[in-house]
Amino acid sequence: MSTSKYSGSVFINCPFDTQYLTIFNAIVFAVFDCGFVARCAMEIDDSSQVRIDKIFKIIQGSNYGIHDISRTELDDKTGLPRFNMPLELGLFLSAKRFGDKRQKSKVCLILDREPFRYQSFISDIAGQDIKDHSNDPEKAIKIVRDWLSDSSRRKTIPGGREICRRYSKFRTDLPMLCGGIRIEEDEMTFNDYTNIVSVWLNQNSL
Amino acid sequence: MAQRTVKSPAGKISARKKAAIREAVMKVAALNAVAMEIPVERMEALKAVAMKMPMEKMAALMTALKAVAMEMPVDKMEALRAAAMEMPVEKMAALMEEAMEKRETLNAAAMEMPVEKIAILMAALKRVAMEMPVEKMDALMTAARKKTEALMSTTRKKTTKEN
Repeated sequence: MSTSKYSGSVFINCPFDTQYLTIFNAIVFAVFDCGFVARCAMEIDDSSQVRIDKIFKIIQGSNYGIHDISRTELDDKTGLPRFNMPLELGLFLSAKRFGDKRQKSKVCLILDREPFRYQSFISDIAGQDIKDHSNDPEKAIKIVRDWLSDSSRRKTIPGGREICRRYSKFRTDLPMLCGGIRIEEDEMTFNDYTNIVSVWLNQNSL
Repeated sequence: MAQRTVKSPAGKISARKKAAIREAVMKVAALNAVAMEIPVERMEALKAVAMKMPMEKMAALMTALKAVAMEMPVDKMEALRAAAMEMPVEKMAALMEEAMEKRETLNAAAMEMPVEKIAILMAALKRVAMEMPVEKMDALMTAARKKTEALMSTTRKKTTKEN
């Protein structure tokens, strides 16, 4: 993988449930609007590949990682905690700790829905800068934007409010865009969504 | 600030779908451009008509219009947009006024039409619009404009005479 591809990739480790979709979609949009590529396990449509292998591959290929642990909570049916997100965060941190020079340059953003909530279930990450998005898409966009701007030091990243305005415009256009490709909004795959976002941003360039 | 580059996603989709997305994005941009260029007073007149339309009819109309707009090639849409933009506000207002005068008759006809019939009508219009070449559509728009002018002139003359 080329260095530019690696340094422009952002691994998104977050829940994929419908409740979280508003935050997820906002984060993916912000990543693309900042000039990066949002990547997640859903981008690989290969049933023959084991899920964890897909995740290893994407982590290996991404310099940045956004880890949202806001849904680390007890499952209603099983009464057990959902631990996929903390596990993938652990994989990312391990790659940074034990990987080669390129892997060591990894940077991550940890998100939760409330400040300090993580201390009661994953206290080992205390000391890292954990941001709370309060389940607010606009807040999540601004956090992601500021983090990408600071850690990449790119001068081409628009301001948080500007990205929020563009996201709002994009949300207005989205139902018609889906109509154009004859799918309903809730039928969109991750690849559909990222391709729509990327083409829309190119058409509506800054 | 330097221009930032929007990257292509890592996940792949078919070339056909990608082309459809590109086309849809361009069409929505064209539609947005039209909406942005419509003067406030024209928009107000349109709003007045829209406000009187019952919800279920409006919903059916919007769905049908959306389908027409999405299926229309970008160049055809641009031709329509140009024609609409050329119509002066006064003419548009006169047309709306005329429509408002005939409101009772129009409303009665529209009210009696079931939603399914509106959908059938829109589908038929859609087929016609889709099959029509841009030049023919342009000619049609010009003819429609001339006819409106002639109609308005006759109405004005009639009103003057009656007065």
